[in-house]
Amino acid sequence: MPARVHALLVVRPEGAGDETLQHLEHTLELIGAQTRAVDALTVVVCGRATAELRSLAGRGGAEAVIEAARGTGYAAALRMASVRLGAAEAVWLLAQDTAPEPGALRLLAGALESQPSVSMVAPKLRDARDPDLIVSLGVSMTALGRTVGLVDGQLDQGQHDAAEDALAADVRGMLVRRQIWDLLGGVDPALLGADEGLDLGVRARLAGGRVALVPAASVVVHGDGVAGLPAPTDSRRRGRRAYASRTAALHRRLTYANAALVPLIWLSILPLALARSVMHLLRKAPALVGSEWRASLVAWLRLAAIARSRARIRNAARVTGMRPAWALVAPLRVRRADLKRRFDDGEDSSADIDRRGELHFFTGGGAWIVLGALALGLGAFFALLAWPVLGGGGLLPLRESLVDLWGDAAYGRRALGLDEVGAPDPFAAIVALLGSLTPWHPSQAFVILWVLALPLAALGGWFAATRLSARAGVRIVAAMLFTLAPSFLTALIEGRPAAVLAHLLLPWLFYTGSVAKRSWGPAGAASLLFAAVLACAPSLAPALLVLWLAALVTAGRRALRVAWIPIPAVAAFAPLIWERAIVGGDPWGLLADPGLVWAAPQAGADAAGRILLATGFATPDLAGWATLAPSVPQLLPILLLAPLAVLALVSLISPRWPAGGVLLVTALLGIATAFAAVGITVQSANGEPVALWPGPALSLAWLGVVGAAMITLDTPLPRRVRALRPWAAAISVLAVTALAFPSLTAMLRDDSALTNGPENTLPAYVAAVGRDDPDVATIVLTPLADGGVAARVVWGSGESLGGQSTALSARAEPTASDREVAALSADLIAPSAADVAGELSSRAIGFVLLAPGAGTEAADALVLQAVASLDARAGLETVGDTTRGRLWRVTGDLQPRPELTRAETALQGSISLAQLVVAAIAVLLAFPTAASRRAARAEPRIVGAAPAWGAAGRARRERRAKTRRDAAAAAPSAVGAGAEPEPQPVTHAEAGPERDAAHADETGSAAGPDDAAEAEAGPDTDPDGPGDDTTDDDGAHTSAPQDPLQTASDDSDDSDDHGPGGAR
Amino acid sequence: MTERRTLRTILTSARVLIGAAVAVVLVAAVAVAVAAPLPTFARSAVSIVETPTPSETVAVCAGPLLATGRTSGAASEIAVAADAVLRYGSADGEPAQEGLRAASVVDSSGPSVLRMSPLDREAASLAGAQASTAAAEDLIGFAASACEAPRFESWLAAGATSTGASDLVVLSNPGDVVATVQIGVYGQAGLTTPPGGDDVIVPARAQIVLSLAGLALGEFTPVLRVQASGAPVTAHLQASRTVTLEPVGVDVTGATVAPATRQVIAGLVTPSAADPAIEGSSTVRVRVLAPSAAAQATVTVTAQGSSSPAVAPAELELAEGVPLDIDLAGLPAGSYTVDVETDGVPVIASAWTSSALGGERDFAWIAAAPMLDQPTLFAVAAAPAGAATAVHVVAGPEGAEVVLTPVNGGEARALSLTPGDAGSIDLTAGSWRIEATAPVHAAVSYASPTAVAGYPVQPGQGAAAAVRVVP
Repeated sequence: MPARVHALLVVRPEGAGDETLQHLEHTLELIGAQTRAVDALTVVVCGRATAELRSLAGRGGAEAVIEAARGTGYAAALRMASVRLGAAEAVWLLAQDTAPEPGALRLLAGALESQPSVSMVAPKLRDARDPDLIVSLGVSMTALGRTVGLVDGQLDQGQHDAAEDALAADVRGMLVRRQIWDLLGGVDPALLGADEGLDLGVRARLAGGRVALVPAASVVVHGDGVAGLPAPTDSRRRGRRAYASRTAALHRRLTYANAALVPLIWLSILPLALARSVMHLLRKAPALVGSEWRASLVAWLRLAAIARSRARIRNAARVTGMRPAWALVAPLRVRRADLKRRFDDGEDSSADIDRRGELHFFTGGGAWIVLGALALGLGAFFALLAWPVLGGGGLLPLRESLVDLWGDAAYGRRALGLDEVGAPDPFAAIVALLGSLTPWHPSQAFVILWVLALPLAALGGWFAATRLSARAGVRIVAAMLFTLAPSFLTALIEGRPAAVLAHLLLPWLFYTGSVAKRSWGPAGAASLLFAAVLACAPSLAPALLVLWLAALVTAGRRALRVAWIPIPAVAAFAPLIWERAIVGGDPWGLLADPGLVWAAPQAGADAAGRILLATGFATPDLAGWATLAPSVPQLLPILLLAPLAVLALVSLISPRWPAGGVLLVTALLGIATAFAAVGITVQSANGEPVALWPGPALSLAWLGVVGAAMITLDTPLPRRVRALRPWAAAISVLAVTALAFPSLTAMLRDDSALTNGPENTLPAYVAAVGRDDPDVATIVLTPLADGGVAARVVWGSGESLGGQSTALSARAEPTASDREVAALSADLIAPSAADVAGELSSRAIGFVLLAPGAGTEAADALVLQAVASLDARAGLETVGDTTRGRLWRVTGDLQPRPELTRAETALQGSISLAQLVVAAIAVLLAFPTAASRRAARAEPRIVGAAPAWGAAGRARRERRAKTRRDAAAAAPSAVGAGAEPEPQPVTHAEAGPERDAAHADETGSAAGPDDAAEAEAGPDTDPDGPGDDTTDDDGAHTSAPQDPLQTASDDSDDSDDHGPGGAR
Repeated sequence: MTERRTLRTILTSARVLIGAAVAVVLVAAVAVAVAAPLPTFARSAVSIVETPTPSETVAVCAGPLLATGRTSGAASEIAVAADAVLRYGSADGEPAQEGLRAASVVDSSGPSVLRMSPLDREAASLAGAQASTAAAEDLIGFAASACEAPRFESWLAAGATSTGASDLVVLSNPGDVVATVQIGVYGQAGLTTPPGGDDVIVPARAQIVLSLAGLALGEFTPVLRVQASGAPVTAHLQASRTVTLEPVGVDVTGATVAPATRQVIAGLVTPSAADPAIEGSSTVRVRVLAPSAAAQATVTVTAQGSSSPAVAPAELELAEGVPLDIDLAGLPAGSYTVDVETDGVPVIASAWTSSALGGERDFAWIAAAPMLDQPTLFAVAAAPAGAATAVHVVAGPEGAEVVLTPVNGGEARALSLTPGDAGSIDLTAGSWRIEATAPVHAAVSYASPTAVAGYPVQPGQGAAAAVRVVP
């Protein structure tokens, strides 16, 4: 009489339930069809047991149907059913989706009976959608406890049919000796569904038993996730897999470890989670970070479960009378060398696809154009080489120490204003970053930036052009045009650091942002550049957000990567948004240009000004033409830009019109932003309203126009008109070069706002005092033309670029401290009876500087009055007349500047930490790894490329898409007959006739099998992960796509053409 | 294959047509946006109009009458000849009174300074006046002057350095820091800055006394411009004359009104008519100076209560920077108003009057009276017995209803003036508040054969001017 077998079948109705019922029916059918029938069948329904379910179970021969709570796990459900085992001698662990083949139980039971030392036997698990694919046959682990599926994901060619012994096996379909089942206490519920079979096997081994494999017995599984891990078909399931695997791994480690080591392991969990989060980010798998932390916290906090699991091992050992014999387990573990040998090949095979080709930076002339721009930059800004500090326009010296430099970039005490505490402009961080490049003299960084601006623009333009064209000539033309942009040159000549930086960063944002949806690397880089561009030009935010939204909407399933792009910018601006827009109620102020604000002529908000803007000029002097050659009619410089504009517009009729259209829309957005910018006045300098600078918006427009023109130039032309291309390029470049002539020679003609220095904005005396004690303020009074006075409180040795604040320059309403400064200033310039000196010293203001006035009669009168009353005031001592004005010193003892309060310090810390974490995440994502570079090579460098055959190619693509749709519902042969020369492994996805078409569409044609295969083969692809000790999920590695569709040369810009394999 | 070719042609044509149309639309959209009246968002710069805290109200009195050369062997030593009797008052409380250091005067407690802190961001009102009577061998007569606020620029149009005159310039610095003073002298040679008037240091809270003769020797008609830097100062001039060893009078006068195209001298009182038989004994003189440019000035003298000039208006040709004295001979005894008008060039004016009887005599310099456009406090110092004390009010072109109220309580006095008219009310010593319905000029006068004095009513400090501060 063979042993009595009691089958436990767990059902969890999920979603619509149709699929569950189908699977269950199939499974019950096959259980009924066993050549050796089960002796008893208990069905556990986790959830509501509907009548339909019950009747199905009844028909299937279930002895009983147990209803369990909805959230009951597999282990708990089995435990509930175990009370009904009765006299059974073996337990068969089944679930709704584990369909045993008719001979399975006979083989399993036979194996169990014939080998008394065997505690449990496991069948071969095969994939329901691809029966040739082994889902699992034997599970082992590494020395550190990482789960290794021995043959997971391999094609079944009978190569493993001789396997007999393994450390453990997948829990699904396992037949366990009753005695052992009771001894071990069943499956450990603390594992949350992962590694249940492994744990059971290990514990059986420790109790002296063996685990035998019966490859001939085969069970087909769907991966519903009732028993074992769910198949990673969507992001929710992938998250659940990662979470359960990691929780189980940590729990097993805590359970198996020597008792003395448990506290150490327990303490290491959270640091390890941090390290692994970094690793996930580096591997461009940010989705895993969340489950990593969830799993770590759960494993960390479940002290009782750890104790229970450890007790179970001890009890089993006590009953069998032997010590837990880890020595028995050791030989069955997988060694590192084995892992390497087995899985190295798999990676190489996926790395061969290279659709990128050489960059041709040197051979294609990119290096030469950068060198040429360097020579041009050296010529145009030769004088700057000897300057230690760049001044004039919006340029100011930088703080002298890195600590102060970064202090200005962090939330806290501001460098201007009456002891202001608040959020900095994100631009301060850009300034700090640049200043840190020359730590010995941070101000030098901007001198170097100015000299290198032209080559850097050429470099950026060239790289941006690599996204548009593979032609060396087109790239060179793009680099030249981008370098000679009128708005850029104007920003250089007028000394507008933020606008210069925005122009230099924009092409890189295009370079990375245009491929952000392909992978996390460019998305991470684009997010940093997005934040940097917005920091330099907040007025670009609406335009960039529109472009981002468009990208997000068209990104399809890869939307998460695109969605990440604005996150660092949001983190950088969040404190400012909170302070200005939400608390302050002044959202307009957020658009303010960062840095020093000063009134300079710029295109106005009228038709004349908008004509200038629409033609690319930010200033009324037409990028210097109006001053250099006043006799030249205004129309001429504008006409010089016409060839480029025509080239750009022609892109709309080129075969790559979608790309051209997107670029022209970008240009339109830039022009619209410029139109809006000159009409928005939120800032003021010395009481004079200053409209937003339209330069960065024009740079964005220029990027779009140049890009669109490059699309036109890249168009393949028939042989007879091919000669037009160089002519068109040459004419537009020559015209733009002519236009750039006044700007490039401005320094030589002494017609630029740039000045050498000043090292300090305050008199040297104050600067010297301020260097020693940065907490001494100076109140700077500047008489205005109308008899008013501008008052500014400057801390330390003088104003710095990073210390500027839009919170100060773009206020809507005077604040309380403004009123205080105003009262103080009025009392200073008038012979008032107030104790002004006492007021000053109580605010730690040590100096009063009366800057030279505006020169008008009213200003002179004010100067006379102010000098008289300041001179006559007790408590102030005249230091004397300096180059920056007349200076007085407060003679009394100064009160110290108030330190940050405890709450403010805490806020400063948390804001800085949050911003640093976001920036670190973006940097880790952007950091290229070998795997990410390999994956990038699988994608063409160009975006929005048209198929070489134009419309015919498009027709072909459409046909292919249709073929795929058909394939979702039809037999594989339908695809095989399609246009593609190769048979498609894609067909795996649609093979299961029971799968409904809607589901196939939703998950994407190639998603199912590829992802499943990768998921099961997780460790295969990254055996080199240091310290990696668990099953990696699919997202954690970056394998090249297997889908041969992707090898077609016509990568298109509509995402639907990519399989998810192509995304990685 | 041909079908495919046709399809290609159709698709390409469609692309070209649609692309061209979109391009035209793009250009048109930009053109429309250029021409359209787009909305703008602008806000004015943050600025705060702030009224400074008013300064402390300070009035500096001239101090006692001084005499030089009393001690043989120390000719330049300055001694106190007669103490000053002070009258002061305030509508806002009791002013603080203190003395200034007068290092150059022997045995002097120094002149008095009256101070009042502002109340509720409004300057306190304060008025003071002092009088002294000298009856010594070298100094005789009555002098009265108002206590005045310190200024950065003061004009003194009085005195002479001719034979018999021994005039002193008194500079007081009530402030906390040192004042550096430049004294410019307008004389027959125009403007000069004598060595003794260059960078004169007036220490904080101190008074210094300079001899006018040391600044402008031999000038019959000097006018001084006192410019202070570092701190404002109050300038007074003590004039005394001796005719053949016999003192003929003393007076202390404060600063006159800064150069203006019209100057009004109110309350010019001549106790007695000039004796036409004696040459040069006219009792009234007017000193006029055009400091910055040559000017034509008309001097009109009108008797109080009369609408026509008492004498024919004098037409003066003034050279730049050269003061000019004109004698107004033949005026009968009475109260007069002197009106100096120019052709648009600012001038300085003051008047001199004297009792012309033999024996005891006195004279007075009367500074031009500033315009009073808001209620103002003034003090009347105690007069010697027999001297008539009156306040003279000159109305502007609109006329004025004038009310005089004693600060310390008492019956108010009213005066109704027609346009251009002048009137006077006899007053007793004390502090008074003058309020008029239209801007007026006013001066206090003392008149008796042995005591002639007068000083204009100075406007109150008023509110400090608001200033636009851009924080």
